[in-house]
Amino acid sequence: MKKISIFILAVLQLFLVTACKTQPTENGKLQVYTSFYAMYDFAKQIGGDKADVYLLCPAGQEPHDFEPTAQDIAKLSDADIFIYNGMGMEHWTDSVTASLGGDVVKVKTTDNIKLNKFTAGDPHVWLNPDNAYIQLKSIADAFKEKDPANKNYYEKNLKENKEKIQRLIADLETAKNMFSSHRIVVSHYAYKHLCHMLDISQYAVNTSDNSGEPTPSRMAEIEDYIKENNIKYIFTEPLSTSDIMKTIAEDTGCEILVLDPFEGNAENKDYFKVMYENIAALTEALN
Amino acid sequence: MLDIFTYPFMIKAFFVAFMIALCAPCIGLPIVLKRFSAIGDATSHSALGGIAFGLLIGINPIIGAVVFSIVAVLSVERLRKAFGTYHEIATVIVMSAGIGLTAVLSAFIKNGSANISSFMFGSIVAISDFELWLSLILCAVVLVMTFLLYKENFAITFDEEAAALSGIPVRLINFIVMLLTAILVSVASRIVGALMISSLLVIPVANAMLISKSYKQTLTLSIVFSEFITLAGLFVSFYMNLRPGGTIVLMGVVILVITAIIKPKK
Repeated sequence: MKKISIFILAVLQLFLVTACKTQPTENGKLQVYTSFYAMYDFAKQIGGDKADVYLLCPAGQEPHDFEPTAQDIAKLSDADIFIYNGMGMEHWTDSVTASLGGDVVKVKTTDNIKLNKFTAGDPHVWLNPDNAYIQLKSIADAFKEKDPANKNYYEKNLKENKEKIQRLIADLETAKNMFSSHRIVVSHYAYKHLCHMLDISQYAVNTSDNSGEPTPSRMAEIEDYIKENNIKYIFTEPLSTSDIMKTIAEDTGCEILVLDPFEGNAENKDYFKVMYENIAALTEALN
Repeated sequence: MLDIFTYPFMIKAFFVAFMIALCAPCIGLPIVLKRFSAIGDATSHSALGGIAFGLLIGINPIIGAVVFSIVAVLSVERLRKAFGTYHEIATVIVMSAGIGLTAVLSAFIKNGSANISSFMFGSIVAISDFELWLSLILCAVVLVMTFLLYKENFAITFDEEAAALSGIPVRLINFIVMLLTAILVSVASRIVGALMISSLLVIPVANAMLISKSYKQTLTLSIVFSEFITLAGLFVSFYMNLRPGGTIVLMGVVILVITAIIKPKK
């Protein structure tokens, strides 16, 4: 059904684009479209006040389930740069990028990310700050290419972020050394990259796309796992869709904390704020 | 082997499933006999729209679902009259409207609660205490009404005109049945899923109609079937790691097909 709707959108887009070609605002700023909140935040970090950054999947909506509207596609075809994550994070980007003209620079920010057997298959790469930097860098490269006049500005922003990322990595290492337990129960498999870095293992209620409900036997397995490993806290996330975690917490006597995969949030927190909140939550659960 | 009744969520699931399986055929029988079996689908899809609407404006989604469902059954009643002998068109139109509304409204919901698949298939493994009490009260109301209106419903489904002539308030009772359908479907949609409730209204009754000879026997047998497929479906889904709603529905269909094959034609 999603494929069909993308096809219909693409057809609609042809009509819209030819019928009423909307001009980008001619204020000299780069027109940048991003697929979901993490990409939006990264593009803002680099673009600062030299770029107009737009978000396609509205903050607060689950990016795995998002579906662009015909208007979104029409706007996208007038953009200078389109930034997305790839690796299956946004199911709609393959067909959309294929249909976009050559004028739009498409930045798939996971292109230079190195995966290993622990992290393969998980699109939430930015939860490891090393990867976040690689993503920021590929965004900065695209900005510099499209807008060479402000090259130094983008480089300065990238450098500032690099410093913050180095501090974040140091703080994550400090937290890691204090963990006495190494197992977390989460709502979906979004944390391979974070877990690999912190040397902990995740046990998820849902599969990686964060939709659907666990089967009854899966629920039973999870509750057994919590009891056997004496787990006291389970992690839900801001965009969690069901009462499953509440039921598990009630059944096992756990408490619920929030671990934010930074897929989207309604409060306009930036990457660093969310990551420091995650450190605090993990420290509370694992010490 | 996992012990199924050591998990509180499974006990709740069994309890709620038992209650809903008990009252679904009570509403289902008069509906099916009135050639109205698609009303469950039309109502449950409208209930989905109501759930999306409820989440959107920030009220309890079950209230949204009940309101939309009542509007849906009233619209079906009204549209049926407009189409005369082609009255089944009405159900399809209302169902389309329900799906359309769901698709459009769900796009506006923030905070990720817009997971249509969890509305479609329900979350019987995550039933809150509020939902537990709600299903209990609802089932009590449905059972009491079935008992009180037993004779009237029997007369109306047998011959509506004769029932009217003998002084039964046909329109009022039809209205009550439709209202109960709307409420049952909308509440159960949220708890066990739209797919499961619209199937439980029809499949056990259809199965019972294949083998029973009287109104009373059909009602009793359809409750037995309904309980069997629901409870057995929950067991099977637990031990075979399947989704419960779909397992229950498929179980019902399989038993129905077997019954139809082994039973000689009337």
